[in-house]
Amino acid sequence: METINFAAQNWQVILERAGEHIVIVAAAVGIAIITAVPLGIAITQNRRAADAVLYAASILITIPSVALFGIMIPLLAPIGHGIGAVPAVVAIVLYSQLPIVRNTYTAIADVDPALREAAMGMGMRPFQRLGQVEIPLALPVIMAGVRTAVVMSIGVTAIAAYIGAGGLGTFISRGIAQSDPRQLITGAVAVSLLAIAADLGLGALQRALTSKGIR
Amino acid sequence: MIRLENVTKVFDTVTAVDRVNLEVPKGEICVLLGPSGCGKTTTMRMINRLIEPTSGRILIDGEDVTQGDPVKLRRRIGYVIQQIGLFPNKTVVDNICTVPDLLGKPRKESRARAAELLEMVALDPAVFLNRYPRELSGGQAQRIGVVRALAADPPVMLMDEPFGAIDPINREVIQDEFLRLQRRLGTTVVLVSHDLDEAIKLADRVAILRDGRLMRYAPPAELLSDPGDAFVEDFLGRDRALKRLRLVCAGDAMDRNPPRLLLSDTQARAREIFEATAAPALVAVGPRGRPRGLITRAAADGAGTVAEHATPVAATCRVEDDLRLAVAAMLADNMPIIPCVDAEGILRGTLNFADVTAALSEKDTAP
Repeated sequence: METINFAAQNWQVILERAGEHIVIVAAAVGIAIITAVPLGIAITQNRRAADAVLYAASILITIPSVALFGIMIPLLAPIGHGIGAVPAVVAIVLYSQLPIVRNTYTAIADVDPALREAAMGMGMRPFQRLGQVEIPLALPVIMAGVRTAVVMSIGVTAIAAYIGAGGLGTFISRGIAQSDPRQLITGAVAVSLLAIAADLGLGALQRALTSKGIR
Repeated sequence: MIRLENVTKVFDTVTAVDRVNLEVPKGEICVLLGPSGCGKTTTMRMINRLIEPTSGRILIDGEDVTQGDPVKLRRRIGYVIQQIGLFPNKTVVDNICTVPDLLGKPRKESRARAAELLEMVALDPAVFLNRYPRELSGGQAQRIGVVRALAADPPVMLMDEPFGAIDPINREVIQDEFLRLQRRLGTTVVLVSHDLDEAIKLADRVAILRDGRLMRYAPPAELLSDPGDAFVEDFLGRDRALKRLRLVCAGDAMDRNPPRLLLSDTQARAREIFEATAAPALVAVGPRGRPRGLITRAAADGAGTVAEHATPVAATCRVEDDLRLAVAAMLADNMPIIPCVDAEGILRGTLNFADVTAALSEKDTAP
């Protein structure tokens, strides 16, 4: 009851924090998509490169986020961003590589070789083949990777409150520091709701982007 | 016209295709035939440069296609593969218009052409144009695969075992449709097959390959009557004489002016005819000229009319049927003679085993 009152009284602050949270996640996952999708496609050309890249991405994701933030303080301090939103974004970009690269790689590599041969035999150039055949067919699996990355990033961003990135994690860190269950629960519930909403929204986007022929 | 001059392909140390010379005249179908690993698919794929030849020249209408941009070349050549390879994310109409769209042709024109082509393979455009490949049966998908290859009106088409994955009944139908379409459009076709029956049915010329070398290049009738060497003879099989039955239609082999016998004629009249011919049996017709009964030499005795002694007609064949169908019917119903009828069922001639033998030996001496 107290928590509900707290949330009702502070809804404007909650919205503001949620906004910060979303900006960090959106920026980071956006960058991750731009880097990881081409990387995932590129490594379909070479088995050894694929193994190496997927191995590296798997190692990255095992580093605890708090440790990663700690490592980045000295690395990013020279450009004035040792703490704040920038290291949070960098960490999420790194974490998001594995789900997006792996799903892109698997989906593109799984495209029926007969379709590739038909596309080549009819005179598609490699990028036309990617754009007209391979990416549209791989899209549901790539989007599934993006959804995983987004949900994971919402959690990581909550922890980034400890390095001053803002966002909904602020309620959690303050709730812990001040032994205030109202803030703690408000933050936790808000982070969960945001994750669920993001996943549902991206699921709808995935269906809208997927061709009726493969739905 | 397609011409291969001394075309060779070496993979590492294996010579897959060895100095092949081949010429396919405009509008003809050349079937590349041989056991697996004989180099037939490699040979075909060198024509649109999915595989680059190690040496030799390939000319299409006199132009050497081993030079220049392979992608532009492929857009001028229709391509059909056994797995069909329709793009599942595109509708039927977008699949068909793939090459026209790559060439930047006006959408309206290519869409209209797609509808036209669909009608030619007996698929209703209103029903099929906006379907997705997963909503098609195997036979429908294969027809659309062929239509897609023809959408930009290519002068040349390459087909890699295009009818291999279809059930036998549908295969015959689709092959017939394809032949009609090909004759109408005048496309020059190179088709890879391992099925001798398919080659005989479709080919104007058959190229038989073995270990990358062209063993024989001849029209099917010539190939079957004179295989030339032991490998080809073996490949064609010991029943190759039977396969030749497919190449002759009943109308060409039948006796066009059989003795006219009515069902209402007397037995004496039948005996009179038997005395004048060597036929083992006669076909008796009804008043409008439809075959109504068969009478053998032995049954033509005693008094009365033919109708009282004739056996009913168990089977007939159409004049356009091939001899294989006619002979199969004769064997199945134990008929010494089979009536050949037109679309109205009117008797046009009769066929007995002697006529069949004569027709095949005629083919032997023909050039």
